[in-house]
Amino acid sequence: MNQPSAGAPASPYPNYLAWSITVTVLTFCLCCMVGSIPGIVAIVYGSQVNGKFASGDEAGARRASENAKIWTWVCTGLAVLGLIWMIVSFFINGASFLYGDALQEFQRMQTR
Amino acid sequence: MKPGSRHLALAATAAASSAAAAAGVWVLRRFDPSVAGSPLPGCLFYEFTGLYCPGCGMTRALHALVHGDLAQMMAMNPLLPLLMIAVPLLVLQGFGYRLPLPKAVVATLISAKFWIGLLLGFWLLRNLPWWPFAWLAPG
Repeated sequence: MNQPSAGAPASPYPNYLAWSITVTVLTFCLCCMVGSIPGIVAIVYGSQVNGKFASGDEAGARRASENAKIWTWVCTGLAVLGLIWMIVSFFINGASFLYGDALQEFQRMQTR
Repeated sequence: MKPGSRHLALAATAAASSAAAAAGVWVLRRFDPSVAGSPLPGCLFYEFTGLYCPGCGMTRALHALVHGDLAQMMAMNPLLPLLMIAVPLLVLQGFGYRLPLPKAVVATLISAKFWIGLLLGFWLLRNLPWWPFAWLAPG
């Protein structure tokens, strides 16, 4: 881990790791692959922040933090889309699952 | 995050997650994802590639969980119990709460290497057809 050692100043640039790991795990359960790739990119950038700051590369730490933030938001957006897709497909498929027989019966009556 | 907004964010997240969990339990008590034509969506990655992703079997594992069948839950996706413990802790950590856990545990929880290794490793291993890896595949 890139935790700063005791006494060293903590990085002022957030690494968003807790958030990016959470949404990455959620995307694997929601929309699979599509959201997980930006999530993994966000985790990789986030993991660089503290190390770069500790080695004195302040500009690098800031850039890594900004990239982690962007990719975390992309992943969060895809997780929300995945959730919406899941709910919509549930209602569409649920209607035909529950009322499929009734719908077929209705169509038969129409064509008769 | 400041303590005030932190508590507010946590309360909002807890309320949203409880509502989602209640809806999920209701749906999974009424619908069985293993039944053909079930309205619960399958995995898109599996559909296109025929390979399992790390989340494959998650719906069936949750279905087993709300029916109290823990062995079936582990058979479908052994990652589920770990995530059910780790994700709430990650959310607390993300909101800036100090977790009352050993330092090494917290360091692992927010370790990029741990999570990427776990997810990619699990992804690869559960697609191997031999014992004991075949046990990681859903079913």
